[in-house]
Amino acid sequence: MDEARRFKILSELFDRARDLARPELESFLAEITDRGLREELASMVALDREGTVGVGPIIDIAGVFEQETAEPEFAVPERIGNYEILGLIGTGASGVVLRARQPETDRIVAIKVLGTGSWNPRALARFRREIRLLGRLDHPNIARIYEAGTDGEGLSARPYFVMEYVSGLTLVAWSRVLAERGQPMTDRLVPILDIFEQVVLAVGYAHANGVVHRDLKPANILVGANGRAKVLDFGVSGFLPETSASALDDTRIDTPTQSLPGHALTEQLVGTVPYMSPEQFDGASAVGHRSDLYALGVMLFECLAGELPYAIDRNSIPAAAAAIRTTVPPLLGHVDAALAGGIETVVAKLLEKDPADRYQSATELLEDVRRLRDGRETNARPITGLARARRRLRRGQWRASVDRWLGNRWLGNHRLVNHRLVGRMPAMLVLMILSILLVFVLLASGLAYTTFRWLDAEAKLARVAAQASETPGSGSRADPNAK
Amino acid sequence: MASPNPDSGSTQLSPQLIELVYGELRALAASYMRHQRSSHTLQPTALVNEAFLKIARSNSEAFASRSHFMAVAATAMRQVLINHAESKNAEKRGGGSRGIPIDPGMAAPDLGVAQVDVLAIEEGLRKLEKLDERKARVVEAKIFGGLSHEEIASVLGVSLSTVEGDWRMAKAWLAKEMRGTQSGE
Repeated sequence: MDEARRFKILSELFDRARDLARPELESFLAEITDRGLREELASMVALDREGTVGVGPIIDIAGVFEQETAEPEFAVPERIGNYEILGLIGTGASGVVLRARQPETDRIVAIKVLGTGSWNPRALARFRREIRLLGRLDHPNIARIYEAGTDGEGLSARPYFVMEYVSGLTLVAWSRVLAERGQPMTDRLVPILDIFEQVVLAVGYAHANGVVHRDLKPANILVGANGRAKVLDFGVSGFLPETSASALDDTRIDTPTQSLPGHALTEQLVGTVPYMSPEQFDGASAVGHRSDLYALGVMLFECLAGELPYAIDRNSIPAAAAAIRTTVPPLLGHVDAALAGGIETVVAKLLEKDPADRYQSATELLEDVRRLRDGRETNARPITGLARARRRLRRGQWRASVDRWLGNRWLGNHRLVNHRLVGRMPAMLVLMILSILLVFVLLASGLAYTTFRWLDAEAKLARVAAQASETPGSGSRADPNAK
Repeated sequence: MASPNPDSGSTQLSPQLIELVYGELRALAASYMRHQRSSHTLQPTALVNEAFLKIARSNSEAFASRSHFMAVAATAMRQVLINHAESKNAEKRGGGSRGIPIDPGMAAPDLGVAQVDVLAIEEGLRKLEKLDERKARVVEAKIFGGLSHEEIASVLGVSLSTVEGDWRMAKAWLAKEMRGTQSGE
């Protein structure tokens, strides 16, 4: 029997047995033929009666935070494996990244090491996941993994992996350099789109291999001097559900564990928040490949306009979340007139709040990026003011107010409201009113017709009656039995 | 594309969102401990409510409803406590992590303050998640977030009696699981 099914049966049996008096309980248990199930149920009922020690709401966590002291700083080692460590590149969500040299080949590499302070099973699982995930991706625009290993032994053992060292500027820094050269926007557009094409290719490749990045941001996209873009840091990415089950052993996209020393978490998030999609703030929606496309939209906007699509209060996460979820970004053309037209439409489509309104795949986006670069017309169409207003009404205020109303009154949970259905509510209302009207018209016309026939019949009757009284002989003809 | 509809199915909370709330909770707790120091108790519910008030002050629409936020916070709180317990364990191998006091509930046995072994709970909870997702959510919200049954019912969109039944069954099951692993070792 499958585990979940067995548990369901156990659960049903428990509900029936839990309040039975002793003799009834005995006979209830005796009727269960499956011995394992019977014993499990018996011990659960017993525990339920004697009090389930050790399981209950936590009432005091002061002790947890008492010892929250500064964790040890990461000491940069001289060597890791066969590699000579040259320096620290940076600290990331799951450890530190070092620059190193392989003496035999003189090759410069980057080594990501899980920090000792963050050594716990979950952080380790996440680290291993990133290794497996990178091992799965082989693309010229994704930083390649060379090898993985563990440095040291016992408690001081540190898992690490060696990857391609990418020198370059982050995407946004690169675009800033481009802007500082003073070239007009029209000259900058093509190089930016060239870089973006590579990024979209990399992201699309990852998606096709069942991997969503989920943390695309300028710091994770480097542009080398050779004009090649590389996507880095799949530390919080996850496997798409379809492929996960078959391909890997521990496949659950579990929640990555924050495990940085001290308060680095907040610094991490500062760089992350503006690129998070509206659905990432909304526990209800799925965070999927279209969230990656949103992040690309924010970066494209930033590269072109030199600023984020909306002001993000970096000190307040809730305020930032609200801005991302509700503020409609300005059109690029309003920031710089040279950006009106196709590019503006593409970026606006990437920044749509509802993933269903965005490009549906990296492939779709790639097509439009290429069209833009070649000066052709894009597939994305600008949304007219009327359509936007209608959509906003349908998806925005209308939905929000229905949500609030339904959510608070009936369900207390906005997730249960079927948005598609709610979105169509105005149309459904109109349809209902029309059908009611139609029924009325039908009824009225039926009534009118009946009245007409009635009056007509009465008139005929009156005529016949009048004829009958004029010619008395006809009466005997009508009723032969009268005689 | 290889996967025609990759978005479907992954409806769990965004890891970033949980990290955000996680950060808020940790920062709040840290500042609380700095100011209160010594022998004060700190209830998860108090912390979660504080975080909610802070967030609601700056924007009332940030989260759709209080109970929904509380559920997210419960998940984040679970992370905080598990991470803490794991790092404690890694520090002093085999030393055994100090328990965290819990509400002993209705039938308090005479054992002094009842304590929860967070890692044992976590192990059972992960198993439960695979068997019955809803019961696992009830347990998480109850143990880590201190949500009331009414709040849990509203978050999960089920009736109050369902929550009560789920909690009672899951509690007995977890207690059995935890006892099983202890005597087995």
